[in-house]
Amino acid sequence: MKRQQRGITLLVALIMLVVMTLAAVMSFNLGRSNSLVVGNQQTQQITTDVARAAIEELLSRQLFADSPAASFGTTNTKGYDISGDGTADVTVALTPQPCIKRVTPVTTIDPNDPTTISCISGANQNFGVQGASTGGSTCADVTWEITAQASDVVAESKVTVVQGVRLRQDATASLNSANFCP
Amino acid sequence: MLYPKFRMQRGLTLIELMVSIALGLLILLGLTTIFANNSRARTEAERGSRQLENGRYAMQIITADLRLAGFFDGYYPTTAPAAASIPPTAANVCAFDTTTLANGMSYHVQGYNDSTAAGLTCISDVKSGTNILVVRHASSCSSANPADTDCDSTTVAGTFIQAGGCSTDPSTFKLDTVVANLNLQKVNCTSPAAIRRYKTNIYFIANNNNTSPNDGVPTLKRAELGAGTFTTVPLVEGIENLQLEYGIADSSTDTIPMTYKKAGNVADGLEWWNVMAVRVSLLSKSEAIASGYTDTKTYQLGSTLVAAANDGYRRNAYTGVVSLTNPAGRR
Repeated sequence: MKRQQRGITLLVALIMLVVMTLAAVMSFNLGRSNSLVVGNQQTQQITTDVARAAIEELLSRQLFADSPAASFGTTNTKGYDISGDGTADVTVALTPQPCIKRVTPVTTIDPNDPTTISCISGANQNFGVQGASTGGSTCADVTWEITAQASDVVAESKVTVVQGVRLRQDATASLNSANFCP
Repeated sequence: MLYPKFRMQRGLTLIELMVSIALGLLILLGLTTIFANNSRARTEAERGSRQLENGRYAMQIITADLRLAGFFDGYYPTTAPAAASIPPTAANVCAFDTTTLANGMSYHVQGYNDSTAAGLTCISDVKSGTNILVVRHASSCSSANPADTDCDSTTVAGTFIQAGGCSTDPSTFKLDTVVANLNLQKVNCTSPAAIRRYKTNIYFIANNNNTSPNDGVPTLKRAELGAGTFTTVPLVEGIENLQLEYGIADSSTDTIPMTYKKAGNVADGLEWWNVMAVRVSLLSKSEAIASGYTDTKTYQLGSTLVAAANDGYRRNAYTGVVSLTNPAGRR
Protein backbone atom coordinates (compact mmCIF):
# COMPACT_ATOMS: atom_id res chain seq x y z
CA MET A 1 0.00 0.00 0.00
CA LYS A 2 1.16 3.42 -0.85
CA ARG A 3 1.27 6.39 1.39
CA GLN A 4 -0.98 9.30 0.43
CA GLN A 5 0.91 12.22 -1.14
CA ARG A 6 0.71 15.26 1.09
CA GLY A 7 1.81 18.81 0.00
CA ILE A 8 0.75 20.45 -3.20
CA THR A 9 4.13 22.00 -3.93
CA LEU A 10 4.74 19.87 -7.00
CA LEU A 11 1.31 20.64 -8.37
CA VAL A 12 1.68 24.39 -7.84
CA ALA A 13 5.15 24.34 -9.33
CA LEU A 14 3.82 22.56 -12.40
CA ILE A 15 0.98 25.05 -12.84
CA MET A 16 3.40 27.93 -12.47
CA LEU A 17 5.66 26.33 -15.06
CA VAL A 18 2.80 26.09 -17.53
CA VAL A 19 1.75 29.70 -16.92
CA MET A 20 5.31 30.94 -17.35
CA THR A 21 5.71 28.96 -20.55
CA LEU A 22 2.54 30.57 -21.87
CA ALA A 23 3.84 34.01 -20.94
CA ALA A 24 7.13 33.28 -22.67
CA VAL A 25 5.38 32.07 -25.82
CA MET A 26 3.20 35.16 -25.84
CA SER A 27 6.09 37.55 -25.52
CA PHE A 28 7.90 35.63 -28.25
CA ASN A 29 4.87 36.02 -30.51
CA LEU A 30 4.73 39.71 -29.69
CA GLY A 31 8.33 40.18 -30.70
CA ARG A 32 7.83 38.13 -33.80
CA SER A 33 4.76 40.06 -34.95
CA ASN A 34 6.68 43.26 -34.29
CA SER A 35 9.54 42.16 -36.52
CA LEU A 36 7.01 41.05 -39.14
CA VAL A 37 5.46 44.51 -39.13
CA VAL A 38 8.86 46.16 -39.50
CA GLY A 39 9.82 43.70 -42.23
CA ASN A 40 6.64 44.41 -44.16
CA GLN A 41 7.18 48.11 -43.84
CA GLN A 42 10.72 47.71 -45.11
CA THR A 43 9.72 45.75 -48.21
CA GLN A 44 6.94 48.22 -48.90
CA GLN A 45 9.39 51.09 -48.65
CA ILE A 46 11.90 49.33 -50.91
CA THR A 47 9.20 48.53 -53.47
CA THR A 48 8.02 52.15 -53.50
CA ASP A 49 11.55 53.44 -53.93
CA VAL A 50 12.26 50.99 -56.74
CA ALA A 51 9.08 52.05 -58.55
CA ARG A 52 10.13 55.69 -58.29
CA ALA A 53 13.67 54.87 -59.37
CA ALA A 54 12.30 53.05 -62.41
CA ILE A 55 10.25 56.10 -63.37
CA GLU A 56 13.28 58.35 -63.01
CA GLU A 57 15.28 55.98 -65.19
CA LEU A 58 12.54 55.94 -67.81
CA LEU A 59 12.26 59.72 -67.83
CA SER A 60 15.99 60.14 -68.27
CA ARG A 61 15.93 57.99 -71.41
CA GLN A 62 12.73 59.37 -72.94
CA LEU A 63 12.39 56.26 -75.10
CA PHE A 64 8.75 55.99 -74.11
CA ALA A 65 7.76 58.90 -76.35
CA ASP A 66 8.79 56.95 -79.46
CA SER A 67 7.85 53.42 -78.50
CA PRO A 68 5.65 53.32 -75.41
CA ALA A 69 5.11 49.57 -75.72
CA ALA A 70 8.81 48.74 -75.45
CA SER A 71 10.34 51.64 -73.64
CA PHE A 72 11.67 49.76 -70.66
CA GLY A 73 13.61 46.61 -71.31
CA THR A 74 11.99 44.61 -74.08
CA THR A 75 8.52 44.09 -72.65
CA ASN A 76 8.24 47.14 -70.43
CA THR A 77 9.39 45.11 -67.44
CA LYS A 78 12.66 45.19 -65.63
CA GLY A 79 14.07 43.46 -62.57
CA TYR A 80 15.99 45.29 -59.88
CA ASP A 81 18.52 43.59 -57.65
CA ILE A 82 18.44 45.16 -54.20
CA SER A 83 20.27 42.57 -52.13
CA GLY A 84 23.19 42.31 -54.54
CA ASP A 85 22.99 38.54 -54.98
CA GLY A 86 22.66 38.70 -58.75
CA THR A 87 18.96 37.85 -58.92
CA ALA A 88 16.18 40.40 -59.26
CA ASP A 89 14.30 41.10 -56.02
CA VAL A 90 11.81 43.63 -57.31
CA THR A 91 10.20 43.58 -60.74
CA VAL A 92 8.85 46.76 -62.25
CA ALA A 93 6.27 46.54 -65.00
CA LEU A 94 4.98 49.54 -66.93
CA THR A 95 1.37 48.44 -67.12
CA PRO A 96 -0.60 50.07 -68.53
CA GLN A 97 2.09 51.34 -70.89
CA PRO A 98 2.95 55.06 -70.93
CA CYS A 99 0.12 56.93 -72.59
CA ILE A 100 -0.78 60.48 -73.56
CA LYS A 101 -3.05 62.44 -71.23
CA ARG A 102 -3.10 65.74 -73.05
CA VAL A 103 -1.70 67.37 -76.18
CA THR A 104 -1.30 71.11 -76.29
CA PRO A 105 -0.02 72.46 -79.62
CA VAL A 106 2.72 75.03 -79.20
CA THR A 107 1.39 78.22 -80.74
CA THR A 108 3.65 80.84 -79.28
CA ILE A 109 6.97 80.59 -81.05
CA ASP A 110 9.82 82.81 -80.05
CA PRO A 111 12.85 82.51 -82.34
CA ASN A 112 15.05 83.62 -79.48
CA ASP A 113 13.77 80.92 -77.17
CA PRO A 114 15.91 77.76 -77.42
CA THR A 115 12.97 75.60 -76.40
CA THR A 116 10.81 76.75 -79.31
CA ILE A 117 13.37 77.47 -82.00
CA SER A 118 13.33 73.86 -83.17
CA CYS A 119 9.60 74.08 -83.70
CA ILE A 120 10.21 76.41 -86.60
CA SER A 121 10.43 74.66 -89.92
CA GLY A 122 9.55 75.02 -93.55
CA ALA A 123 12.14 75.38 -96.26
CA ASN A 124 9.98 77.54 -98.48
CA GLN A 125 9.30 80.17 -95.88
CA ASN A 126 11.42 83.13 -95.09
CA PHE A 127 10.17 82.89 -91.58
CA GLY A 128 7.16 81.19 -90.23
CA VAL A 129 5.65 78.37 -88.39
CA GLN A 130 4.09 75.46 -90.13
CA GLY A 131 0.37 75.58 -89.57
CA ALA A 132 0.65 78.85 -87.73
CA SER A 133 -2.38 80.20 -89.50
CA THR A 134 -4.50 77.47 -87.94
CA GLY A 135 -2.97 77.93 -84.54
CA GLY A 136 -0.71 74.92 -84.80
CA SER A 137 3.00 74.21 -85.15
CA THR A 138 5.25 71.24 -85.54
CA CYS A 139 5.55 71.03 -81.80
CA ALA A 140 3.17 70.06 -79.09
CA ASP A 141 3.43 69.93 -75.33
CA VAL A 142 2.45 66.39 -74.54
CA THR A 143 1.53 65.22 -71.07
CA TRP A 144 2.40 61.57 -70.63
CA GLU A 145 1.13 59.36 -67.87
CA ILE A 146 3.56 56.71 -66.68
CA THR A 147 2.39 53.87 -64.48
CA ALA A 148 5.00 51.74 -62.75
CA GLN A 149 3.89 48.62 -60.94
CA ALA A 150 6.61 47.28 -58.70
CA SER A 151 6.26 43.94 -56.98
CA ASP A 152 8.66 42.33 -54.57
CA VAL A 153 9.47 38.81 -55.76
CA VAL A 154 9.86 37.31 -52.28
CA ALA A 155 7.60 39.34 -50.01
CA GLU A 156 5.04 39.95 -52.76
CA SER A 157 4.45 43.53 -51.73
CA LYS A 158 3.02 45.55 -54.58
CA VAL A 159 3.21 49.28 -55.22
CA THR A 160 1.80 51.26 -58.11
CA VAL A 161 3.22 54.70 -58.77
CA VAL A 162 1.70 56.96 -61.38
CA GLN A 163 3.63 59.97 -62.57
CA GLY A 164 3.09 62.50 -65.30
CA VAL A 165 5.66 64.16 -67.47
CA ARG A 166 5.33 66.87 -70.06
CA LEU A 167 7.44 66.65 -73.17
CA ARG A 168 7.76 69.04 -76.06
CA GLN A 169 7.73 66.75 -79.05
CA ASP A 170 6.79 66.45 -82.67
CA ALA A 171 3.12 67.31 -83.11
CA THR A 172 2.34 64.69 -85.75
CA ALA A 173 3.87 61.86 -83.75
CA SER A 174 2.12 62.97 -80.61
CA LEU A 175 -1.23 62.77 -82.32
CA ASN A 176 -0.92 59.04 -82.77
CA SER A 177 -4.17 58.06 -81.10
CA ALA A 178 -2.84 54.58 -80.35
CA ASN A 179 -0.80 56.21 -77.61
CA PHE A 180 -3.74 58.02 -76.02
CA CYS A 181 -4.74 57.02 -72.55
CA PRO A 182 -7.81 54.84 -72.66
CA MET B 1 5.09 -10.39 11.81
CA LEU B 2 1.77 -10.09 10.11
CA TYR B 3 2.33 -6.65 8.54
CA PRO B 4 6.04 -6.02 8.49
CA LYS B 5 5.84 -3.32 5.88
CA PHE B 6 3.37 -1.36 7.87
CA ARG B 7 5.63 -1.25 10.80
CA MET B 8 8.46 0.17 8.74
CA GLN B 9 6.32 3.14 7.76
CA ARG B 10 6.69 5.54 10.57
CA GLY B 11 4.97 8.63 9.15
CA LEU B 12 6.48 12.10 9.13
CA THR B 13 7.77 13.76 12.20
CA LEU B 14 6.71 17.33 12.89
CA ILE B 15 10.22 18.56 12.05
CA GLU B 16 10.16 16.87 8.70
CA LEU B 17 6.74 18.31 7.92
CA MET B 18 7.80 21.83 8.87
CA VAL B 19 10.97 21.65 6.80
CA SER B 20 9.04 20.44 3.76
CA ILE B 21 6.42 23.14 4.17
CA ALA B 22 9.13 25.80 4.55
CA LEU B 23 10.92 24.58 1.43
CA GLY B 24 7.62 24.45 -0.49
CA LEU B 25 6.76 27.99 0.52
CA LEU B 26 10.20 29.19 -0.52
CA ILE B 27 9.81 27.68 -3.98
CA LEU B 28 6.28 29.05 -4.25
CA LEU B 29 7.47 32.53 -3.31
CA GLY B 30 10.21 32.40 -5.91
CA LEU B 31 7.85 31.21 -8.58
CA THR B 32 5.26 33.86 -7.77
CA THR B 33 7.86 36.61 -7.96
CA ILE B 34 9.14 35.34 -11.29
CA PHE B 35 5.60 35.10 -12.62
CA ALA B 36 4.68 38.57 -11.46
CA ASN B 37 7.83 40.06 -13.00
CA ASN B 38 7.29 38.15 -16.20
CA SER B 39 3.72 39.26 -16.59
CA ARG B 40 4.62 42.89 -15.85
CA ALA B 41 7.43 42.75 -18.39
CA ARG B 42 5.07 41.27 -20.94
CA THR B 43 2.50 44.01 -20.38
CA GLU B 44 5.24 46.61 -20.72
CA ALA B 45 6.53 45.01 -23.89
CA GLU B 46 3.06 44.92 -25.39
CA ARG B 47 2.43 48.52 -24.46
CA GLY B 48 5.82 49.50 -25.85
CA SER B 49 5.23 47.75 -29.13
CA ARG B 50 1.81 49.36 -29.45
CA GLN B 51 3.38 52.74 -28.83
CA LEU B 52 6.07 52.08 -31.46
CA GLU B 53 3.44 50.86 -33.86
CA ASN B 54 1.32 53.98 -33.30
CA GLY B 55 4.27 56.23 -34.09
CA ARG B 56 5.15 54.27 -37.18
CA TYR B 57 1.56 54.27 -38.38
CA ALA B 58 1.20 58.01 -37.87
CA MET B 59 4.41 58.62 -39.84
CA GLN B 60 3.19 56.33 -42.59
CA ILE B 61 -0.16 58.11 -42.93
CA ILE B 62 1.36 61.58 -43.07
CA THR B 63 4.17 60.50 -45.42
CA ALA B 64 1.77 58.82 -47.83
CA ASP B 65 -0.46 61.89 -47.91
CA LEU B 66 2.45 64.31 -48.39
CA ARG B 67 3.70 62.27 -51.34
CA LEU B 68 0.37 62.95 -53.02
CA ALA B 69 0.35 66.65 -52.17
CA GLY B 70 -0.29 68.77 -55.23
CA PHE B 71 -1.65 65.91 -57.34
CA PHE B 72 -4.60 67.06 -59.44
CA ASP B 73 -4.71 64.35 -62.10
CA GLY B 74 -3.60 65.83 -65.44
CA TYR B 75 -3.88 69.41 -64.27
CA TYR B 76 -1.04 71.23 -62.60
CA PRO B 77 -1.00 74.80 -61.38
CA THR B 78 1.76 76.62 -63.25
CA THR B 79 1.89 79.97 -61.51
CA ALA B 80 2.75 80.86 -57.98
CA PRO B 81 -0.10 82.30 -55.97
CA ALA B 82 -0.01 86.01 -55.26
CA ALA B 83 0.91 86.76 -51.68
CA ALA B 84 -2.43 88.37 -51.07
CA SER B 85 -4.43 85.61 -52.70
CA ILE B 86 -6.49 83.15 -50.80
CA PRO B 87 -6.18 80.88 -48.93
CA PRO B 88 -3.25 81.64 -46.68
CA THR B 89 -5.57 83.12 -44.14
CA ALA B 90 -6.86 80.65 -41.64
CA ALA B 91 -10.49 81.32 -42.42
CA ASN B 92 -9.95 80.29 -46.00
CA VAL B 93 -8.37 76.98 -45.10
CA CYS B 94 -11.68 75.96 -43.65
CA ALA B 95 -13.67 77.39 -46.56
CA PHE B 96 -15.18 74.97 -49.01
CA ASP B 97 -16.51 77.09 -51.87
CA THR B 98 -15.04 76.08 -55.21
CA THR B 99 -13.30 79.43 -55.82
CA THR B 100 -11.30 79.14 -52.61
CA LEU B 101 -10.56 75.50 -53.28
CA ALA B 102 -9.39 76.28 -56.81
CA ASN B 103 -7.04 78.95 -55.45
CA GLY B 104 -5.90 76.45 -52.84
CA MET B 105 -4.53 74.18 -55.55
CA SER B 106 -1.41 76.36 -55.65
CA TYR B 107 -0.90 75.67 -51.96
CA HIS B 108 -0.07 71.96 -52.02
CA VAL B 109 0.92 72.12 -48.37
CA GLN B 110 0.36 74.71 -45.71
CA GLY B 111 0.96 74.80 -42.02
CA TYR B 112 0.42 76.60 -38.78
CA ASN B 113 2.84 76.81 -35.91
CA ASP B 114 0.79 77.62 -32.93
CA SER B 115 -2.66 76.24 -32.59
CA THR B 116 -3.86 79.25 -30.68
CA ALA B 117 -2.84 81.67 -33.42
CA ALA B 118 -4.27 79.64 -36.23
CA GLY B 119 -7.93 80.30 -35.53
CA LEU B 120 -9.03 77.46 -37.74
CA THR B 121 -12.72 77.13 -37.18
CA CYS B 122 -13.07 73.67 -38.69
CA ILE B 123 -10.93 71.93 -36.09
CA SER B 124 -11.27 71.90 -32.33
CA ASP B 125 -9.58 70.60 -29.19
CA VAL B 126 -6.12 71.33 -30.65
CA LYS B 127 -3.26 70.66 -28.27
CA SER B 128 -1.28 73.83 -27.68
CA GLY B 129 2.31 73.95 -28.87
CA THR B 130 1.75 71.45 -31.67
CA ASN B 131 1.74 72.11 -35.42
CA ILE B 132 -1.05 71.85 -37.94
CA LEU B 133 -0.51 70.51 -41.44
CA VAL B 134 -2.79 71.14 -44.41
CA VAL B 135 -2.37 68.91 -47.48
CA ARG B 136 -4.29 69.39 -50.71
CA HIS B 137 -4.58 66.97 -53.58
CA ALA B 138 -7.06 65.07 -55.68
CA SER B 139 -7.94 61.56 -54.61
CA SER B 140 -5.55 58.98 -56.02
CA CYS B 141 -8.53 56.82 -56.72
CA SER B 142 -10.95 57.54 -59.51
CA SER B 143 -14.42 56.10 -59.78
CA ALA B 144 -13.87 55.76 -63.54
CA ASN B 145 -11.16 53.19 -62.91
CA PRO B 146 -12.75 49.77 -62.38
CA ALA B 147 -9.67 48.62 -60.44
CA ASP B 148 -10.40 51.15 -57.70
CA THR B 149 -13.12 49.25 -55.94
CA ASP B 150 -12.64 50.93 -52.58
CA CYS B 151 -13.17 54.37 -54.05
CA ASP B 152 -15.78 56.73 -52.65
CA SER B 153 -18.57 56.87 -55.16
CA THR B 154 -19.27 60.22 -56.80
CA THR B 155 -22.80 59.89 -55.44
CA VAL B 156 -21.34 60.71 -52.01
CA ALA B 157 -21.49 64.49 -51.91
CA GLY B 158 -18.28 66.47 -51.92
CA THR B 159 -16.13 68.58 -54.20
CA PHE B 160 -14.84 66.97 -57.36
CA ILE B 161 -12.12 67.81 -59.79
CA GLN B 162 -11.84 66.82 -63.41
CA ALA B 163 -8.72 67.41 -65.48
CA GLY B 164 -9.50 67.46 -69.17
CA GLY B 165 -7.21 66.10 -71.86
CA CYS B 166 -8.94 67.35 -75.01
CA SER B 167 -6.98 70.27 -76.46
CA THR B 168 -10.12 71.89 -77.90
CA ASP B 169 -11.80 72.08 -74.47
CA PRO B 170 -11.73 75.67 -73.28
CA SER B 171 -10.67 74.83 -69.72
CA THR B 172 -8.05 72.42 -68.50
CA PHE B 173 -9.83 71.55 -65.30
CA LYS B 174 -13.17 71.91 -63.62
CA LEU B 175 -13.96 71.97 -59.94
CA ASP B 176 -17.54 71.47 -58.89
CA THR B 177 -19.76 69.94 -56.27
CA VAL B 178 -22.24 68.89 -58.93
CA VAL B 179 -20.91 65.88 -60.83
CA ALA B 180 -23.15 66.59 -63.83
CA ASN B 181 -21.33 69.89 -64.43
CA LEU B 182 -18.05 68.08 -64.97
CA ASN B 183 -18.12 67.55 -68.72
CA LEU B 184 -14.48 67.64 -69.82
CA GLN B 185 -13.19 65.08 -72.26
CA LYS B 186 -10.18 62.80 -72.34
CA VAL B 187 -7.35 63.30 -74.83
CA ASN B 188 -9.38 61.48 -77.50
CA CYS B 189 -12.04 64.22 -77.15
CA THR B 190 -14.84 61.65 -77.07
CA SER B 191 -15.03 59.96 -73.68
CA PRO B 192 -15.45 61.81 -70.39
CA ALA B 193 -12.34 62.42 -68.29
CA ALA B 194 -11.93 60.82 -64.87
CA ILE B 195 -13.61 62.53 -61.94
CA ARG B 196 -11.72 62.62 -58.68
CA ARG B 197 -12.56 63.82 -55.21
CA TYR B 198 -10.82 67.03 -54.14
CA LYS B 199 -9.17 66.50 -50.79
CA THR B 200 -8.14 68.96 -48.14
CA ASN B 201 -6.66 67.09 -45.20
CA ILE B 202 -5.87 69.01 -42.03
CA TYR B 203 -3.67 67.06 -39.61
CA PHE B 204 -3.49 68.14 -36.00
CA ILE B 205 -2.99 66.82 -32.48
CA ALA B 206 -6.10 66.83 -30.35
CA ASN B 207 -6.09 66.77 -26.55
CA ASN B 208 -8.58 63.95 -26.44
CA ASN B 209 -9.34 60.94 -28.56
CA ASN B 210 -12.93 60.90 -27.42
CA THR B 211 -14.37 64.23 -26.35
CA SER B 212 -17.53 63.03 -24.64
CA PRO B 213 -16.32 62.75 -21.97
CA ASN B 214 -12.73 63.90 -22.44
CA ASP B 215 -10.43 60.90 -22.12
CA GLY B 216 -7.17 62.85 -22.08
CA VAL B 217 -5.47 60.67 -24.70
CA PRO B 218 -3.57 62.91 -27.16
CA THR B 219 -4.53 61.79 -30.64
CA LEU B 220 -3.51 62.54 -34.19
CA LYS B 221 -6.65 63.62 -36.00
CA ARG B 222 -7.47 64.63 -39.51
CA ALA B 223 -10.18 67.03 -40.64
CA GLU B 224 -11.35 65.98 -44.09
CA LEU B 225 -13.18 68.13 -46.59
CA GLY B 226 -16.67 66.82 -47.11
CA ALA B 227 -19.86 68.25 -48.51
CA GLY B 228 -19.97 71.80 -47.16
CA THR B 229 -18.25 70.78 -43.95
CA PHE B 230 -15.09 69.35 -42.48
CA THR B 231 -15.31 66.00 -40.72
CA THR B 232 -12.73 65.23 -38.04
CA VAL B 233 -11.51 61.65 -37.96
CA PRO B 234 -9.26 60.33 -35.16
CA LEU B 235 -6.33 58.51 -36.76
CA VAL B 236 -3.75 57.42 -34.19
CA GLU B 237 -4.04 57.63 -30.42
CA GLY B 238 -1.07 58.37 -28.20
CA ILE B 239 0.55 60.86 -30.58
CA GLU B 240 1.48 63.70 -28.30
CA ASN B 241 3.31 66.14 -30.52
CA LEU B 242 3.64 67.00 -34.20
CA GLN B 243 6.30 69.40 -35.42
CA LEU B 244 6.81 70.35 -39.04
CA GLU B 245 9.43 72.19 -41.00
CA TYR B 246 9.11 73.14 -44.62
CA GLY B 247 12.01 72.81 -47.05
CA ILE B 248 11.89 75.80 -49.36
CA ALA B 249 13.59 76.10 -52.72
CA ASP B 250 15.33 79.37 -53.57
CA SER B 251 13.31 80.18 -56.66
CA SER B 252 10.24 78.97 -58.50
CA THR B 253 12.46 77.10 -60.98
CA ASP B 254 14.53 75.41 -58.30
CA THR B 255 13.64 72.05 -56.79
CA ILE B 256 16.20 71.68 -54.02
CA PRO B 257 14.99 72.63 -50.54
CA MET B 258 17.63 75.08 -49.34
CA THR B 259 16.23 76.24 -46.03
CA TYR B 260 13.94 74.56 -43.56
CA LYS B 261 11.52 76.88 -41.83
CA LYS B 262 8.75 76.56 -39.31
CA ALA B 263 5.31 77.49 -40.65
CA GLY B 264 5.29 80.88 -38.94
CA ASN B 265 8.39 81.96 -40.88
CA VAL B 266 7.17 80.87 -44.29
CA ALA B 267 5.94 83.88 -46.23
CA ASP B 268 2.52 83.66 -47.85
CA GLY B 269 2.38 83.10 -51.56
CA LEU B 270 5.66 82.31 -53.26
CA GLU B 271 7.34 80.61 -50.32
CA TRP B 272 4.57 78.09 -49.82
CA TRP B 273 4.65 77.51 -53.57
CA ASN B 274 8.35 76.72 -53.25
CA VAL B 275 7.96 74.13 -50.49
CA MET B 276 9.66 71.05 -51.92
CA ALA B 277 10.03 68.90 -48.83
CA VAL B 278 8.54 68.59 -45.38
CA ARG B 279 10.34 67.41 -42.28
CA VAL B 280 7.86 65.61 -40.07
CA SER B 281 8.60 64.96 -36.39
CA LEU B 282 6.31 63.06 -34.08
CA LEU B 283 6.29 62.11 -30.44
CA SER B 284 4.35 59.02 -29.42
CA LYS B 285 3.43 58.29 -25.83
CA SER B 286 2.55 55.03 -24.08
CA GLU B 287 -1.07 54.52 -23.14
CA ALA B 288 -0.44 54.02 -19.42
CA ILE B 289 2.12 54.92 -16.78
CA ALA B 290 4.99 52.46 -16.47
CA SER B 291 5.57 51.73 -12.78
CA GLY B 292 8.89 52.88 -11.44
CA TYR B 293 9.73 54.87 -14.56
CA THR B 294 10.23 58.60 -14.91
CA ASP B 295 10.67 60.14 -18.32
CA THR B 296 13.46 62.64 -17.78
CA LYS B 297 14.46 62.85 -21.43
CA THR B 298 14.12 65.87 -23.65
CA TYR B 299 13.11 65.23 -27.23
CA GLN B 300 14.40 66.98 -30.32
CA LEU B 301 11.60 67.30 -32.85
CA GLY B 302 13.23 69.04 -35.78
CA SER B 303 14.32 72.40 -34.42
CA THR B 304 11.86 72.21 -31.54
CA LEU B 305 13.12 70.94 -28.20
CA VAL B 306 10.43 69.29 -26.11
CA ALA B 307 11.22 69.60 -22.41
CA ALA B 308 11.25 66.53 -20.18
CA ALA B 309 7.76 65.73 -18.96
CA ASN B 310 9.03 64.02 -15.77
CA ASP B 311 6.05 61.71 -15.67
CA GLY B 312 5.69 57.96 -15.85
CA TYR B 313 4.90 57.68 -19.55
CA ARG B 314 7.35 56.25 -22.04
CA ARG B 315 7.87 58.18 -25.25
CA ASN B 316 9.37 57.70 -28.70
CA ALA B 317 10.37 60.40 -31.16
CA TYR B 318 10.14 59.96 -34.93
CA THR B 319 11.58 62.18 -37.62
CA GLY B 320 11.48 61.89 -41.38
CA VAL B 321 11.85 64.10 -44.43
CA VAL B 322 9.31 63.66 -47.21
CA SER B 323 10.07 65.05 -50.64
CA LEU B 324 7.05 66.42 -52.45
CA THR B 325 7.27 64.69 -55.81
CA ASN B 326 4.36 66.41 -57.48
CA PRO B 327 5.32 70.07 -57.11
CA ALA B 328 9.06 69.34 -57.44
CA GLY B 329 8.68 67.14 -60.50
CA ARG B 330 6.95 69.89 -62.46
CA ARG B 331 9.84 72.29 -62.34
